[in-house]
Amino acid sequence: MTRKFAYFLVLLSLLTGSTAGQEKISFSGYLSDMQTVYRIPDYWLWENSLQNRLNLDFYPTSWLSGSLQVRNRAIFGSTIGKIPGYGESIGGDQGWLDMTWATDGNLGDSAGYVLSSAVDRLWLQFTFGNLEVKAGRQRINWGQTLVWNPNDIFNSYSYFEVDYPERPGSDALRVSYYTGNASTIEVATKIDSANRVTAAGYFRFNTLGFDIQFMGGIYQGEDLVLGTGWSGNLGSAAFRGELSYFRDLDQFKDTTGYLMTSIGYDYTFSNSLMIQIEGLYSGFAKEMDVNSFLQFYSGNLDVKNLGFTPWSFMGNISYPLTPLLNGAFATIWYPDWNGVYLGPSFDLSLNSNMDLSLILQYFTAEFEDPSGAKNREKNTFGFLRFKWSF
Amino acid sequence: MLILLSAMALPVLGQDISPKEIVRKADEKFNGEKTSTAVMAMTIVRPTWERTIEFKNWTSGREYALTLITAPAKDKGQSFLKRQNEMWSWNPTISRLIKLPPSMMSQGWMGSDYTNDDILKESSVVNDYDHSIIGEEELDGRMCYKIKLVAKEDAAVIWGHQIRWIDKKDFLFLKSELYDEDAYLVRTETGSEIKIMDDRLIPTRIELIPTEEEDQMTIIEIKEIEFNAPIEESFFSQQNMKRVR
Repeated sequence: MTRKFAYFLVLLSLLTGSTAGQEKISFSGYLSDMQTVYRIPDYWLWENSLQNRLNLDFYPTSWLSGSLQVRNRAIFGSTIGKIPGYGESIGGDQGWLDMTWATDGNLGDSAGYVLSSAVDRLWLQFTFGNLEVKAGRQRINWGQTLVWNPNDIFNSYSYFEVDYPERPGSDALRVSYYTGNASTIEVATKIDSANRVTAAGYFRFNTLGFDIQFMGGIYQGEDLVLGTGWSGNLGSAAFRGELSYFRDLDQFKDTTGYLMTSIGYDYTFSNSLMIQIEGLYSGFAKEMDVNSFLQFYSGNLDVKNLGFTPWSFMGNISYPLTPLLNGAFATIWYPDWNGVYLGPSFDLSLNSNMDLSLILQYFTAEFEDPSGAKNREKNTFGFLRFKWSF
Repeated sequence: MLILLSAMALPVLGQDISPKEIVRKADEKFNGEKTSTAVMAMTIVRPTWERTIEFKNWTSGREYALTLITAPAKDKGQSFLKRQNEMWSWNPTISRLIKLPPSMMSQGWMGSDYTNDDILKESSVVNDYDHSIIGEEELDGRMCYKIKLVAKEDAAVIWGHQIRWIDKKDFLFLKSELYDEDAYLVRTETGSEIKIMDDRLIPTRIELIPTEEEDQMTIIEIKEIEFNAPIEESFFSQQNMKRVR
């Protein structure tokens, strides 16, 4: 089906007239290899992940565009046998259409492999003046803050994932109308692999130096969601925030709902030193049964699981040590767990299209076991990645 | 980007023209009286390496600008929108629009010696400064007016004063010295490779050298430019940040 669709787009682009002499097809992507080491309770694990991303964008006419983007991975390492369900989780597709293919197997006694290919964007966009209609697998990003996004109900994903900035897409239909140069109204609906429908409306406008948004709808067929968010500045620092309210539709009268809010500041000094702080409150956290950090470490998240504890506080500092070498240090404090996350990282530009990244993640916190005793859990993850963009 | 370049181009007309008029005509000549559309490259030069960023730039006066990065591959498709004194960035990889804070304005744009301030806030070289002709000098075989621009007290500008060399015959910017409020020379900019672009003679290569790092340089090259094409103010929109190519 995917191949037919690609042929169709190519054909369409050949048949239609030229648009101001610009290329009608654009091809881009990257090839990366990442070596990972995990130190988790009781285990040392390792993994090598070869990743290739292909983006094919089509612009057959001025009013029609489309995109097909594929993420191919070849992973091998001791993680595959040791983490139950790991292979299957890579082969899983959260979307309504299953456009992920994967196969896994063993490499001797101590390691395994997974080969996977996933279509994470496949959309067509029709543009009629200020009106845009976008249909297919796409990313809908309604976030305003920089770390945790309670307003971003379509594509929640783990903050700790270091090798997938694009994030998966949603199988969705979105209609956008730009009411002004810096304002928009959107209506979007998506359906996921469990046939749950999320449908919401969104309005963003700009006034007094602030972007302000309101959103509301049904989240995964279960909850009413209402939210607001903003970006602006206090003094010369950026001030961003989001607030979302969720209430279970089946128990609407018996419950009062849950609040989730994030607020952040960021400031950039003239020497390009960037400092950022953000806090998250989640009303859902106290309902969650968390006994290990690893429960929420990777992959797709329900927006309700953005916060694992009622309060999370994040600080980040980023500085170009040289124009080619950027250093950053992120830290998150989880007061209810007596826990912290520490994340130093370095990105080195080798040439215009090649980058080398070193990322470390350390996590320590106390969890209660079933007997009520508290145990401290420590996890360390190390990533070394080479990336060639084309 | 052109907004900053504008400030560097200072041709002069006539003999009895005031220094302010000289600067105004120069500014308009280089920037377009109304709008400009340009294809440019910026190269960051260091002793052991270079990096080039290619981009397209649309401007309308000093109020509106839209910049689209076309190379390198990892940054391609990122765009920046300026409307009056607000600025946004669009990152297509993560489909995210981010409103940029004023503090980011003093940061080097894409890692260069040019700051966002140069793009966004470079105030009017005409209205925000008092001008005086302080002499004449020959540069590269061209006779130049030497004009001093002193920032007005209430002007929101990052330079305390500037000295600009302007070709007397063709009214071209050839050199600028930019001083901070303590009269310390922060950087020197020179214009060269003078060519006719869209029926105008302009310098197409601007070199910026910070005073403290003489082995460093940022080079801006104008590859194509069109002046005063009809661009509506509504072109500078969040919708177009995602659509321009």
